Amino acid sequence: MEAFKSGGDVLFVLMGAVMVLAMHAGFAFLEVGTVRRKNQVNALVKLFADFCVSTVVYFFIGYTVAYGVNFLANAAMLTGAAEGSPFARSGYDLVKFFFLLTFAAAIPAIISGGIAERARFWPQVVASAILVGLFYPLFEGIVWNGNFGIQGWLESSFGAPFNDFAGSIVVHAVGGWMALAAVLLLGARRGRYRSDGSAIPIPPSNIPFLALGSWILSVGWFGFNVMSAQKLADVTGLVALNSVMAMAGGLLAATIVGRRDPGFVHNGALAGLVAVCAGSNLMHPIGALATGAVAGVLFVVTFTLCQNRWKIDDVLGVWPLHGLCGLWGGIACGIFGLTALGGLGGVSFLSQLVGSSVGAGYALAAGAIAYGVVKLAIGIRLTDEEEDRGADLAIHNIGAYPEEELIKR
Amino acid sequence: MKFIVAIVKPSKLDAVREALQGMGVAGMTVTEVRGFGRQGGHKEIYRGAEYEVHFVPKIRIEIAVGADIADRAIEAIRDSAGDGRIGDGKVFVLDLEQAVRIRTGEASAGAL
Repeated sequence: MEAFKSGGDVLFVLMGAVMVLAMHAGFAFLEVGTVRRKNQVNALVKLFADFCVSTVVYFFIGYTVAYGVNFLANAAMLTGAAEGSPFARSGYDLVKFFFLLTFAAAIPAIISGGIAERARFWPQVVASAILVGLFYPLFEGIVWNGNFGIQGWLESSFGAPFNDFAGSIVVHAVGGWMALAAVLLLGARRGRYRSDGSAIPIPPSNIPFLALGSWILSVGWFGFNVMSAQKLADVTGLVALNSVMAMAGGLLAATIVGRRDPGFVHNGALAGLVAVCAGSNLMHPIGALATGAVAGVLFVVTFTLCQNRWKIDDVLGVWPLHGLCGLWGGIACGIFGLTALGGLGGVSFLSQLVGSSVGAGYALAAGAIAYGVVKLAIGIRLTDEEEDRGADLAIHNIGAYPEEELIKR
Repeated sequence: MKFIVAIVKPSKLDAVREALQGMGVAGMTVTEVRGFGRQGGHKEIYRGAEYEVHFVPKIRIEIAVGADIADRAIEAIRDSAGDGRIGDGKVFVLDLEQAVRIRTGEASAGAL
């Protein structure tokens, strides 16, 4: 019976890990479709390479920073088979690492969409390693492992700890605000703004690809949210329903406010999903619908301001999407999680407000440090000539459609 | 001999081909082209940003015919490619000096 239970938990978390791993394909195709053709190969290589770099640094450093656990023991210990092993049976701790790794690796995947089309390859990889190995797990551990007693302080001050069930703040806002720093340090793409400051639109290469990316992310998101319960016994359909309601709210609001624009439609679904992560375990489904709808509007409005008014050349709009909708999600959990609004309660608005704002501010600073150091030390930007040729040829020596591009004889 | 160049809507290509083949035109060359006339371009919008499409996609059809059937060919193109709207396209007619069939060396009308 015990083996059956631990095996069930392993399978449960593994399923979550695999679904979030699939989301990384979604990140990749969202970027492939949104960038110009000359940068598609770079988007694909960057996303997969970042995931694997994240794997290594999170295994050796990041996971220890967040949870004080390291895997430098023999395999019999790791799987809980050996006498006196601190690890759970059936390799539960290992699959939990895999699951949380897929979250950690979302940080560079989010940033990638903002800095697309002009960043150098290895410097970007180094910055990703710093963020996933150190800055992300530091905050992750504070929120999800109670490190430094900050959750305890919030609970004693405001009546409840900061609730971020699946990472509106820990993953999305943190990734989005780190991306803002990276985008600002990198500067706008060549030819993005006229000398008078007005924006010159740069068209996406492939709307079917970016729509595919949005679909893959949306499907995988149910592993991201539901499996955040981390134990089969704790699974609840509320998280699943809330997630789908927020997705619907986000898409529909973005479709209306964004006038059926496919870019807004497909990012609108994601905006709703980003915002619902934090409170998906507490909200009423109607509260989740409202949370998602607000996020959908928030994305359309702030994306437009970001590009045209503030002149931030965030290619995919990752700061509005993950940074701002994530921040809203953390706060929304303190509103729609309340019993007065049909939620399960046990949540404090002030804790949510503090936790969310501190997370965003911390991430902005951390992103500025990591990308700032790399910029000073080795430089993060392609040369003008390389940028004009495209990251595909400049970095990878091949375009996305070699047969078409090479001269046929 | 006349050389007829017709710029038509892509959706009309099949109708034009049928009409020309039906009246005895023995061959044609087709190219996908872009351009503007009175129709001008159009605007596209993605995530709130407007893109001016100055050149719209068209099909260029080239045929070489004997002078005797040139007028009928032009009529056939007009009948099959026209919707009566701006953007239907244009027909240009040029005098054709010479034509040669590469395989046999036949020249002039015999090559068509």
